Amino acid sequence: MKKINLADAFAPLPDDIRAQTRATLRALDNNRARKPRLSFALAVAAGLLLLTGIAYAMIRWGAGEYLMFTRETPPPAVQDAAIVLNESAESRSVRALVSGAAYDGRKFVLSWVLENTAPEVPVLMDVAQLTIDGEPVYVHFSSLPGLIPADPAGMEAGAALNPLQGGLVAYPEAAYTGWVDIEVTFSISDAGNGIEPDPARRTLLDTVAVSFKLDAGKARRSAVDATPAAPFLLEDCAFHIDSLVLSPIGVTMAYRFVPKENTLAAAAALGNVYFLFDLLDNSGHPIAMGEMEGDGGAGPQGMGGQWVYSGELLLGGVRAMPDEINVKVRSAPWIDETGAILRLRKAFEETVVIPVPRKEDTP
Amino acid sequence: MDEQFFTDQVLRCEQRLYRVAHAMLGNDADAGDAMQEAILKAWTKRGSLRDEAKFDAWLMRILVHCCRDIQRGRMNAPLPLDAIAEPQDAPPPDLALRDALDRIPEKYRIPLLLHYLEGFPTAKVASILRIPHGTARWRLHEGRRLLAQQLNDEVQYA
Repeated sequence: MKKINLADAFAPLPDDIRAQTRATLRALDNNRARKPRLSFALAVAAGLLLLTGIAYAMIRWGAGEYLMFTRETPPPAVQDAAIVLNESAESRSVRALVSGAAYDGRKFVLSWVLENTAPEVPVLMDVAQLTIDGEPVYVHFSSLPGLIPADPAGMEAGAALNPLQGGLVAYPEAAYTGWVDIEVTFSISDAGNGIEPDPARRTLLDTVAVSFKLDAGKARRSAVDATPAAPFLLEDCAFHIDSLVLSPIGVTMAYRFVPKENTLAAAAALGNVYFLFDLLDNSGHPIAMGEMEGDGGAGPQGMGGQWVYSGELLLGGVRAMPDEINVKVRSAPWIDETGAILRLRKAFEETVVIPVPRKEDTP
Repeated sequence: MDEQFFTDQVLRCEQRLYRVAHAMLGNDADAGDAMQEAILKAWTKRGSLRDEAKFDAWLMRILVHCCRDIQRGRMNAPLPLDAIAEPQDAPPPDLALRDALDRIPEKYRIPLLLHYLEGFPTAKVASILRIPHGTARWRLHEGRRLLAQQLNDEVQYA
C-alpha cells in the first residue's frame, strides 16, 4: 500500500499569487484590485471539461436515487428491474431493513434503511459482507460507513438523522438466472467521538444480517443487449465492443482497441488516444443515465498473441431506452513532462453508431 | 462581517484556494485570476453568509464557480496551441502524483482534494459542489479507485 500526501501534488503558493491576493484584499472597498485577465489563458482541458459538462447535463434519476438515496418507491422505468423488498433483521441496537434490490445480469444494487433503536447511543454502521448463493461478492460501492444518528458535524443543517438510507452496488462475477439467496451483513461499531473512525480503530459491537431471495431471471429481463456484431475500424486500430448491455439500473460496456502494430507500446499508446467515452442518442445528446458511473479498469494486455488496450465502463442506468447509441471516444488531456501545463495533445474524436435492438428482438 | 475578519479568513485559507483552483485550471495564471474573482465576489456577497463558521466552505463554493466560469471562457474562445505562451509554473514536489491526479476526471479529482487534502466532510463537499451527498460519496469512492489505478497501487491518504 502506498502512502500519499495529496499536498505533494501542488507547489507552494507562488509569491506572485500571494501578492495578488494581498493587493485584492487591500483594495476591497474600491474594487481597484482587478488585474486584466491574462491573454495567454490556455484553451485546454477541453475533453475534461466536456466530460464535466455532460455529467452536469445528466439527469439525476432512476435506480441510483431509488436504491441508494432518496426515493422510497421505484420510478416507473425501474419497476421491471427492481424488486421491492421488506426484509428486516434486528440486533440489540439496530433494525436493518432491506427495501429493494435489482440485478440486470451484470450489475446488482441493493437499498436499505438502518434505524438505531437506541439513538441516544450513536453507532457506526458498515457493510461487513455480501454473499450471493453463499459466495462472497466484492462490493464495488457502498454508501456506508455511516453513523446513525448521522454525524451532526457533517450535516449542513445540523440535523441528526435517524434512520439512515443507503445502498450498495456490486458486479458479481457469476451470471445468475434463477432464484438466488442473498445475504448482507452489517457491522455495528462504536461511534467513538462522532467522527467516522479509521477502520483499524473501530470497536466491533455487533453484526446484523438480512437474508432474502431474488428472482434474478425476472430482474435481468429489463436489460437490452446492444453488443455490435463486428468491430469498428478506426484510423489506427480496430475498436471491438465485446459487450454492451443497457438496463434501467446500469449500462456496462466491455471494449478492446486492437492496434495495427502488434506491440505492447502501440497498445498502451491507444489508452491515451481513446480515453474518454460519451454515450449519445441518435440526435447527439447524452443518453440520460443515473449518476452511478465509473469504470472497471483499463489497460494494455496480451490476449491470444495480440496486444490490446481493453477496459470496461460501468455506468448508471438509462432513463429510457434509446433507438441507437453513438459511442464517442475521445483523447485525454495530456500532461507534458514538466507537469506544469495541461495540453490537449491531439484533438481526436471518433464516433461509432450502434442500433439498439428492441426488447422483443433480444434473445 | 468586517473587513479585518474577511481578510484574516481569506489569508488563512489562501493555500487551499490555490490548490483547488490549480487542480481545476492547470496553471498559476488562471488559478490566480480565479482566486481574485472569488475574493471580490465573496466580499460583495458577504451579507449572504449567515454563519461565519462556514466561511471556508462558502468561499470554496464561490471559487469553484469562478473556476468554472474561466473553464467556460476557454471553451468559448479556444486559442491555437501554437499561439499560446507557456508560463512555467513551479513543479510540485511529487510530479508523478500530480500527473496521476490530473488524469482523473475533474468530477472525481476535486472531491478527492476537498475531502482528503482540504479536510471538508463529505456533506460539505456535496454542498460546495452542489451535488447530492450520496453523489459526493460516490465520486470520492470512484476518485480513490481511479487514483489507485493511476498509481498502480493501493493508496493510503496521509
